[in-house]
Amino acid sequence: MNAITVTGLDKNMGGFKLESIDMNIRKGYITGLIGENGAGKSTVINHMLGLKKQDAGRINILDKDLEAERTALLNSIGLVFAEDRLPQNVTPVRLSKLLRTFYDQWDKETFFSYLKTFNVNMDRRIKYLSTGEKVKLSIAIALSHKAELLILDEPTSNLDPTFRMELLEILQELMIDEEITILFSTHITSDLDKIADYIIMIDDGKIIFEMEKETLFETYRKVKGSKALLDDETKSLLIGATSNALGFEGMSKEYEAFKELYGNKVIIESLTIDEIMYYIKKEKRGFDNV
Amino acid sequence: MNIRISNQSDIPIYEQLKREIIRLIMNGELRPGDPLLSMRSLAKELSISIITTKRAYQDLEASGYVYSVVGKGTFVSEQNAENRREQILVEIEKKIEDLLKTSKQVDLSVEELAEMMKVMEDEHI
Repeated sequence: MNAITVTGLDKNMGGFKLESIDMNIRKGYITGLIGENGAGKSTVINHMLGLKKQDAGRINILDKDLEAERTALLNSIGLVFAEDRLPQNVTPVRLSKLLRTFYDQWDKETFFSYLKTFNVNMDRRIKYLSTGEKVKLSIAIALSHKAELLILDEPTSNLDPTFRMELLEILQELMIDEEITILFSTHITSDLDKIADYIIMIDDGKIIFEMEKETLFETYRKVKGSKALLDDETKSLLIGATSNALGFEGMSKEYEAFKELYGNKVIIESLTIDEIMYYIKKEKRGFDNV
Repeated sequence: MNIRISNQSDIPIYEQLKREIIRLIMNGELRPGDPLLSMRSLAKELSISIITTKRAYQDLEASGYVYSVVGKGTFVSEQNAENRREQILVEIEKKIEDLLKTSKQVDLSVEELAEMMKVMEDEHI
């Protein structure tokens, strides 16, 4: 079952466009939305929140049509943005009072207990908080109104490594509840290597793949070997390959074929999400071809 | 449960998890009827994805190591002889893997390796 279903989303924004975006965010799981800066991650998320109007396509969230029931839906979505979207001149304590009027199920106890755990100063105006504190504050908000769906747009880009690890732990703690769904957009994919269940890659406004993470790791492997092994046919099996005096190296879905053909002469290695993204981008740009 | 998982390993995480649980069952740390952690709690404890633990549990159930009761959780099954044999085969596979890696360092072929084993077997028996 899906928490978010996007079908055929089109949006032309002049220089940039989203083209027939289809996405399935499964309920009860963590989905990572990856892509470079400017690939379209935030634009897609803005559409999911009804902040932008699409040219075509449908978005369904938690079994409701976004357009028809946006207000109700925003109540069940917890949002975390990298950029600042909070009122600057209030303290977190005051903010809690404002949010109570905005969210039906605002839970101030939970909110303050998160702020305490995260070490955020509650009596200082938001504009005087550090970048890290602001992100922590918005995470605390997202977790304090019984949201069923958490959408995090680049939450970790301004965080120090220690808190990034902490955040991942908090998210996993939440996932013990089967009803919670997380959509996590990031270009720091090491955050997702471990905990994500599904990965969606977007590039230049188009979906490149949507896959179970483990399947992704099984689909693509790195192949290395000496240049003499490459002919036109084997070359065509490589994605984003490069070669130098020491040999060739590239990504392949057909790594089993390399193993069968060359046995011990090739090295097959597993890849991280970052590396998979890198090879796909490299193939698209077409530079450094072998 | 004492489970060790490596993110650096070439072996898929769900496969590692499966082997670890089988190991715990075989060495008696997990006894028939013992409950396993819920999939979601285990995912959290090991910092791995839910789908990974789900897949490991499903595989373990399919091969009869554990069984699940809807609403209650997953439990260790009574183990039969065949399972035990399979476990030992897994152990052997692991050792062969190590052996092959080491052999590669000196370009020793599988045939040569097999020959060495034969010689050793003759000596010992």
